[in-house]
Amino acid sequence: MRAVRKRETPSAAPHALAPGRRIGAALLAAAVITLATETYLVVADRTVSGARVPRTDQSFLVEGLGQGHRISQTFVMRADGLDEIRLNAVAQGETDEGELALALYEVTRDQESAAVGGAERLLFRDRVAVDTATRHPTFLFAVPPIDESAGRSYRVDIWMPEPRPAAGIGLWATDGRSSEDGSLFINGLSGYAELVFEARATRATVWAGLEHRFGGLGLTLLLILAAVAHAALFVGLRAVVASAAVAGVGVLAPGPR
Amino acid sequence: MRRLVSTLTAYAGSTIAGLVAGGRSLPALIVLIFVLRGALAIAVVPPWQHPDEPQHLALVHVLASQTELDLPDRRDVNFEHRILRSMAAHGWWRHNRERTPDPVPASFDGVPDHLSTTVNNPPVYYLLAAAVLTLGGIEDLVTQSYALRWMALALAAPTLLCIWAGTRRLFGPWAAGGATLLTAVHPQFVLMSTAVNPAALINLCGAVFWWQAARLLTGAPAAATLALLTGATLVGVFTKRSGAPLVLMLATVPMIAWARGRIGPWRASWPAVVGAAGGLVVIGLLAAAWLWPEVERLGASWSYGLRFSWADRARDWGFLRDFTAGLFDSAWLVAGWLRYPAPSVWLTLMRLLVVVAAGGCLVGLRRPAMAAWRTGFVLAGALVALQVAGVYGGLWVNGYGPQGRYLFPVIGPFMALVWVGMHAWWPRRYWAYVSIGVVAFFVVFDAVGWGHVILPAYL
Repeated sequence: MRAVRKRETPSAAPHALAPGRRIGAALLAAAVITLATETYLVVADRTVSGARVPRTDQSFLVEGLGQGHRISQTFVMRADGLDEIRLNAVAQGETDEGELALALYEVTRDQESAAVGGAERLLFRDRVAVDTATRHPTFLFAVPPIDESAGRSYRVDIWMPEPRPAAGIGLWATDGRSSEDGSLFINGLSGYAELVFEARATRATVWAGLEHRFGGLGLTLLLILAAVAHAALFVGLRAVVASAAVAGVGVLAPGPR
Repeated sequence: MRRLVSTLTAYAGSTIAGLVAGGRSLPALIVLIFVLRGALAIAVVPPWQHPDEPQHLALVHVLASQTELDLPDRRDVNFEHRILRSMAAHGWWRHNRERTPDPVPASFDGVPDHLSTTVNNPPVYYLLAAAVLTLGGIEDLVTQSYALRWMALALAAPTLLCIWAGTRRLFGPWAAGGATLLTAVHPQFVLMSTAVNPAALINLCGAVFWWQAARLLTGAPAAATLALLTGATLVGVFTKRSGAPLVLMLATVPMIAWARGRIGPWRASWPAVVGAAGGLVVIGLLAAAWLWPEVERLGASWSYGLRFSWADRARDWGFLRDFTAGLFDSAWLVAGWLRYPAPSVWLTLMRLLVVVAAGGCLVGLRRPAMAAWRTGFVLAGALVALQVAGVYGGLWVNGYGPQGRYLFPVIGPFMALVWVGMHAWWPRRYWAYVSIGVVAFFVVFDAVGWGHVILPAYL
C-alpha cells in the first residue's frame, strides 16, 4: 500500500503572507501614489481671482483715453498675493501708436469716493504700448506681488501720457455694480458702471510660496529634509508590514477568560 | 571615488536592511518623521496662529520675568499690548478675515471676541515653560514664542514613544508600529504639538497614562505603575482642563486591571514606590506655598463643569449635531483658530474611516483569532470613551464650542483601535496589504492637509 502524503500548501498556514514580491510591489505603488499626490499638490496652479467684473450684454466701451481722460476702477481684493490685473481694451482709431500708463494705488474705503489723486498710496506704475494692450482681447497689468492684499481696497488708473485722439482707444465696462465694492471713475467722477477687469493672485503654487518663504538655500535644505522624512516613512512602513506576519506575537495582555 | 561610492552605498544598504529586518529602530524612525514634520510646521505657521497662543505666552512671560515666583500675579497689560502689536504685524486679524485694528488695543480686554485671560489656568505648563525661557535667557517676544514651540515638540516626541510602548504591550509590535506611525502623520496632532499651548504636556500625560495602564494590565510591578498613573493624572489635572478625564480613568483602570488584567507583583516594586512617594512628598512640600491657592483656582477654572446644569444650547438637537461634527472635524484638521478647515470630502472620508474602524473593533472582539487583543480593546475603548464623555460633559452640556484637540490625550489608544479595527475586517493573510493601504491613506490625506490647507494658508 502506497503511503499517501498530504500536501501542505502555504496558504493553509494561519499566518501565511503573500509572497514578498507582491508586498514590495504594493509598497512601491503606495510610494508612487504618495509622491505623485505630493508633487501635484506642490506644483498645482492655485491662481485665485480676487475681484472681477465680467463682460456681458450690457457692456459698453468707455472712450476718451485718446482725449486725455483718466479712467479709474476701484475694487476690494478678496485674496492675498495680488499680482496682476486683466483689462479689456480695443483700438478703433486710425493708429495704434502711443503708450498707455497704468498705476495701482492702495486706497482706504473713504477715499474711494473721493476725487482721484487724493492721499492714496501709489504702489506701482507702468507703461505699455497701445498696440500691445489692444493686440488681444485682454491685456495684463502685472504688479509686484502684494502679500497681504486680501480685504484691502485698490484703484487702478489708466491714461495716455501723450493723448492721441486718433487712436480711438476704448476700455470695456459693464453697467451697474458687479463687484459689490468697486466703481468706475472718469477724471475722478464716479459712474454707475465698472470696468471689465479681473484682479488675480497667481503666485499661488505651494512651490512658489515655499520659494518665496525660504529662498534658494532654505528650499534646498527643505527638500533634503523632505527626502529624509520620506525615506524614514517608507523604511518604517516596510518594517511595520514585515511584522504583520507575526501580528499577535509579543502581546503581553492576558488572553480571554 | 568609485570605491567610496560603493562603500557608502553598501553601508546605506546594510543600515536600511538592518532597520527593516530588526524593526527595533522603528520608534526612532517614526519620531524622526514626526520631528521633521513638526519642524516644518514651526517654520511655516506664523506666530500666534495656534489656538490661544497669545494668552499662554503672556502668562509664561509674566512668570519668567518674576525674580521670585508669585503665582497669583498673572497679568502684565503692557506685555499684552506688545503681543497684540506682534499679532498685528504677523497678520493675525487677516488670517481671521478681520480688519487689523488701528490703533492696536491696549490689552487683551480690547479683543473680547477672541482673547480671554488665563488667570485661572492650572500652572504646571506655565511653570515649565517659564523655566525654559529663564534658563535660555530668551527675552525677545517672537523668539520666546518659537522657543516654546520647540519645547512643545520636545514634549511631543516622548509622547509618541509612550504610545508605542503602551500599544506594544497590549497589541504587539506590529500594531504599535502602525498606531504610532498613524499618530506621527496626523496633521492636527502635529500642529498642536508645535503650539505655545499646554496641549503638548497634557498629551504627554495622556500617553504616559496609556503606557502605564497597559503595564498595569500586563504584569508590570503594580505599585510603581499605579504611582506613575497617579503622577500622570496629577500633572495632567494641574496642566489643562482637558486632563480632568484622567481622574475618571485613574478610577477605572484598576477595575479593568482587576477584571481582565494580570496584575504584577507588589513587593518587588517597593523601592519604586518609596521613590515615587518620596518624590511626591518633596513636590508637595515645595508646592505648599502655592498648592492650595492653585487648587482654589482650579476649582474656579472647572466651575462651569461642576455646575451640573444643562445650558439652553445643549437642549437643542442642532447644537449636538454641530458640536459632534465640529469636535470630529477639528480633531483631524482645522488649522489656525478654527479658520482653515480641511476639504469637506477629506473630512467625510475620515468620518467614514473611523466608522469602519469602530465596526472592525466590534468584529475583532468576536473573532477567536483576535482573542489575545480583547484586553487591549477593552482598555483602549474605555480610555477613549471616558475622554469623549469628559469633553461632552465639560463643553457640550455647558453649551461651549468643541475643539478636537481636547481628545488628543487619548490619541494613543484611539490610533491603536483605528489600526486594529481597520485590519479586523480582513483575513490575516491580507494584513500586510491592509497595513500598506491604511498608512498610504493617512499619508496621502496628510499630504492633502499640508498641500491644500496649511501651506497655502501660511505661505
